[in-house]
Amino acid sequence: MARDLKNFLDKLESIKNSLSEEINKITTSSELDQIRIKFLGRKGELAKVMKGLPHLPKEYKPEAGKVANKIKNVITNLIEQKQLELEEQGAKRGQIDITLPGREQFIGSLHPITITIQEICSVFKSLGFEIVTGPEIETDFYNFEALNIPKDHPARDMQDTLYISENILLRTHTSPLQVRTMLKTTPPVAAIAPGKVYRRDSDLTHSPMFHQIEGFLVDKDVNMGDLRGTLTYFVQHIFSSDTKVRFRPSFFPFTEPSAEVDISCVICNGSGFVNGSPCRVCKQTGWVEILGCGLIDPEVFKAVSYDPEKYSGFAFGLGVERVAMLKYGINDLRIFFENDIRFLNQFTDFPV
Amino acid sequence: MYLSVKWLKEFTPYDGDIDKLAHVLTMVGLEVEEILNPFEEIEDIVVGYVAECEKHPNADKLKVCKVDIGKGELLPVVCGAPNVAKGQYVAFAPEGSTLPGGLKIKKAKLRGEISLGMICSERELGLSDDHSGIMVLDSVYEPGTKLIDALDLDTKVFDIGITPNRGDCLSVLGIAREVSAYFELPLNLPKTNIEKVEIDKLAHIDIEIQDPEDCPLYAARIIEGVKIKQAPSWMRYRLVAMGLRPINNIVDVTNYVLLEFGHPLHAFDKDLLKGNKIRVARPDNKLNFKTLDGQEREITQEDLLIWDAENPVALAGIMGGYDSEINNNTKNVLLECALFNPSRIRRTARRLGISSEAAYRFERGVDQLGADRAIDRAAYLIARFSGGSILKGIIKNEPKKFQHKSILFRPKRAISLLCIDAKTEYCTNILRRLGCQITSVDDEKVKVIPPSFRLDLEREIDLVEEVGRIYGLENVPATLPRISKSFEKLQVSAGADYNFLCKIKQWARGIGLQECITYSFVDKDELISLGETEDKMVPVANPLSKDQDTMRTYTITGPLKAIKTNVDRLNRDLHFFEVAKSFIRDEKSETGVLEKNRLAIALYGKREPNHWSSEVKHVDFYDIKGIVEHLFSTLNLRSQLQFKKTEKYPFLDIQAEVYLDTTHVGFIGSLQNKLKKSYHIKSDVYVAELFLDEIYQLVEKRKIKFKNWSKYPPVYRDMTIVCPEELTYETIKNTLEQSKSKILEQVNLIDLYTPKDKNEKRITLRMTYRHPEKTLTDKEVDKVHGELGKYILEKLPVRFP
Ligand SMILES: [Zn+2]
Repeated sequence: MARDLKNFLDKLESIKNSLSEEINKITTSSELDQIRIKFLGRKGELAKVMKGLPHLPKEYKPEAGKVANKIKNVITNLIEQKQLELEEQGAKRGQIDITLPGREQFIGSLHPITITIQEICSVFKSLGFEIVTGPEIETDFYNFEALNIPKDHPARDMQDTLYISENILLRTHTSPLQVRTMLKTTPPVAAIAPGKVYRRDSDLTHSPMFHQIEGFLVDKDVNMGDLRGTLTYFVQHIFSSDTKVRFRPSFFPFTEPSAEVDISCVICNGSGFVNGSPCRVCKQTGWVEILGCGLIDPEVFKAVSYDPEKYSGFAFGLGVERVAMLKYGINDLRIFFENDIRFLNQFTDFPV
Repeated sequence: MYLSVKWLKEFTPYDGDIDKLAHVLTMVGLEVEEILNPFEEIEDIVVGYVAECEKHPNADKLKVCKVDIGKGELLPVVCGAPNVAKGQYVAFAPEGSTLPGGLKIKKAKLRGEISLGMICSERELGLSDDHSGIMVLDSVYEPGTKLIDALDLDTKVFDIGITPNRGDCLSVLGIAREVSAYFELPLNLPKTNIEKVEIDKLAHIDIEIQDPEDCPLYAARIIEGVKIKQAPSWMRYRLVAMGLRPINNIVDVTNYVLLEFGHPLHAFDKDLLKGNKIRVARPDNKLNFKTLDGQEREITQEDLLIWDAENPVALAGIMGGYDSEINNNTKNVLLECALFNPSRIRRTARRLGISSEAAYRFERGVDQLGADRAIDRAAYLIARFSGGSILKGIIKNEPKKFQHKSILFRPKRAISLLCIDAKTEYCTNILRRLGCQITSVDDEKVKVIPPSFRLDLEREIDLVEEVGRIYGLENVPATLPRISKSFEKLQVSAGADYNFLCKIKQWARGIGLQECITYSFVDKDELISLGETEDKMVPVANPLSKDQDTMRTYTITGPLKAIKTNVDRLNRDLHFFEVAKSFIRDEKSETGVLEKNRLAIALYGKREPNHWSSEVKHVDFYDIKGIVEHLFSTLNLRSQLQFKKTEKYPFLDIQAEVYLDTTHVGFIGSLQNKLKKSYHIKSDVYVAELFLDEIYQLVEKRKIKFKNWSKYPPVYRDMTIVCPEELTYETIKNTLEQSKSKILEQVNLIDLYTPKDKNEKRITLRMTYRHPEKTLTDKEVDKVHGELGKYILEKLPVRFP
């Protein structure tokens, strides 16, 4: 009967030996997988031998079981060791060419107009302005009348209008939001209104649709200095900290005094020349016009029932395309609305 | 407006730098947009002296001249003009110079004779239309002098942008006033001395004015015995410099005085006016009237006309009549100098599409007290140039006299609003320099009477602006306001707010979509091709072009347009989104238009960038659907998301409506084949349009609440079923989920196979089982899984393979 045990143990030993022999010959992990199945699989060598275990006399079973377990552990360890060895070798042999292109994703992008609007809005938000929006199709009242632009007034020539009907139009500026906002609340109020605006005008420098940001502040004792300070802060945050701001008297029916704001040319740093040749952006003046502004006209306050003796305020309206063109050095307005991906691909970074 | 610096200096003795003058004008609100030289093209032309003039040996009509241009030797020149003669001083274009229009003067041989230059006519130099002969100068000059210097032409002209409130600056006088006020220089008006030239015959004509509001003043003068010819060259050349075309000695004077004083004038041939009468009135009925440009105009009861005793003779303040125009036979002139209602002039001019110098100024307001000065000046010049006699006196009907305004002005308020460092006296002094009369009222206020030409000064704030303008807005310091806040939330309009739209854009950017921005208006035909009905459309009444004639009702037109542009330029793999409004007619809303914020997405081309490791497929329906699912997962609304089959969208092939529970929030689908062509698209395009205002409302209502999860491990079991092709996945999934099994956590589709020849499909689902409070045993799971199998067999027409 002891022969049965010996026989059993010999079989185990020979499995171990043949494994050690075979495992030394292999070079790939798929070969190793086959070996794993051959020896440790459900129908593998070890399992076959183990089938003999129940037939052994009872007194030999503990001994046989112990040795069988030991052999199984040895085999498992050998296989694992070989696995590690193979993996190391594989890495050393450089099976991965790390210079091959990775699996990319398409890169999304925001339109530069959106980026510019968001950047401008965050500057004004940081000063305490709130963001409001309103309809793009407006009534004559909000777009003109309430802004002190009566019918048959030459000031209407300043904005060629697209109409839906006699009294309904595509808003020509974001200024109606001054009126809409002031009608909804009482001072103090500080808001900015970004959005699309429309004019009946189309050429190299005019687009029938473009974007504006209106800003206004109404409170006690608001003055021109506050306006200049606010706009200086904005300009220096959007362009650079040494950008200069110039006020030139102008006329808008809904502000008085009114001013055009020039900034020192960001292309030639106000020198009028780029690498010795005349700057085309500022036409050598060193200044570029960037927005219109002023103190809110008492007539506008009348339209929204604010007391002009008690409150004063300022308002400004800036063209987003203009800012974006200066910021990115874009010289053709129409390119914004073509949406060529070779244009859009240049604006993949995004504002927070 | 054009302003000649030389002309300006005749009014006020500014002798500083021209660039500084331009800068100062700009900084007081009269923006000098450009400094021009209207005679730049004749810079090279010089004065030549015709020293000899002989007949051409080989041509009857040509002459051979020897011209002295101060170079020592005489230049041979062949000239064909009939009036060329020895001893003339002429305008000479030397060899190498260029004439207006680009003709380059070269050495030439004409019928065998050498010619080294050209003797020019006025037309060749752009000075007039005269081409009857060469231009003969009427004085003696040093040969070789530049022509522009010899003629003392206006070579420095400012192009000034005058804002609509500054009608008073539409003249040399107006700008001169500003310059004299700013630099504190005297103002010299041209002297008329009309009393000395008036003859002793009283001018008379009846002037009747229907409505003083339409015409507060009508003044006239009569000049008899005029001879029509050219105006003197200095005046003609000056008009040319100002961009006007010289006509004759009468019309040119009216134009000249208009530029000089800003008061439009009109000259009638008095003999063509019937009856000795002028009437200013609107017609009782519509009528046709021929203006002096030869056009028939339809005149309504709203338009103001000037009539003689019988007929209309001018469109008041806008343009004269064809039948009473000054002509070569005119002997007697009636000169009109009136004032008309700005709004009425503007309405008529706009309706008729006429833009005239006169209408432009009347619309902006003209100085009533300057009328006499203007008419006297014009009459004086006409008489001087035409040999006519000015009859005595101005005939005048002035039913509405000019009323000076009186404004209370608080200098301290000006100082605080402008935020400037100035004294009270400084402010009042500025107003005085600008022509205002100041009288003090009390310590705080003064009474200000603005000059009659400053119609824009009506309120205190207007005076504040004047102080700021002259003080210099560029000297205002920069201070940062302290912005006070109130507790109330500022919400001006309903619908998605700015932040939400930004969030959507950021999400779209993050998943690899590119934002496009397109016009809000499209071609109506495009909407029709999308199957849109006209009752929903909002047409633009005065579009710039047909392709911009209707507001878009779908935002998806934008991304599709962007695809078209890029496909045309051979750009590939396009994944666009646009966040923009759609515009739908809605009589109930304030503007008759419903504006809705929408997100439109269009996918075209490859699903991901090409990669060497495996083939990349084209986008399909499940890409667009996956993007929409991704959005609502991001917004924490995924559990409410449903897609419903629809056939509502005629432009879509595969199509589904998107719902969040019961709220319709958009649609997805693939573009129909027949539409692809119009967008130049070759392969499939998948689109989505989502209603952001509705989604925003649901996001606002949504509450994110933390839920704890089971600590115990999941157990997975797969189930493969065979079912008819038309049975939807959603039905199967919902049936399984409604089985009320307490430990079934999730059902996922892991494989779908549709054999080609059978109309059934084989679906493999993976169930995730998990118990909230214990580890599940295999036995427990097997039991539930088995029951679920039976349940589905009962409920649906399915079988196991
Ligand atoms: Zn520059």
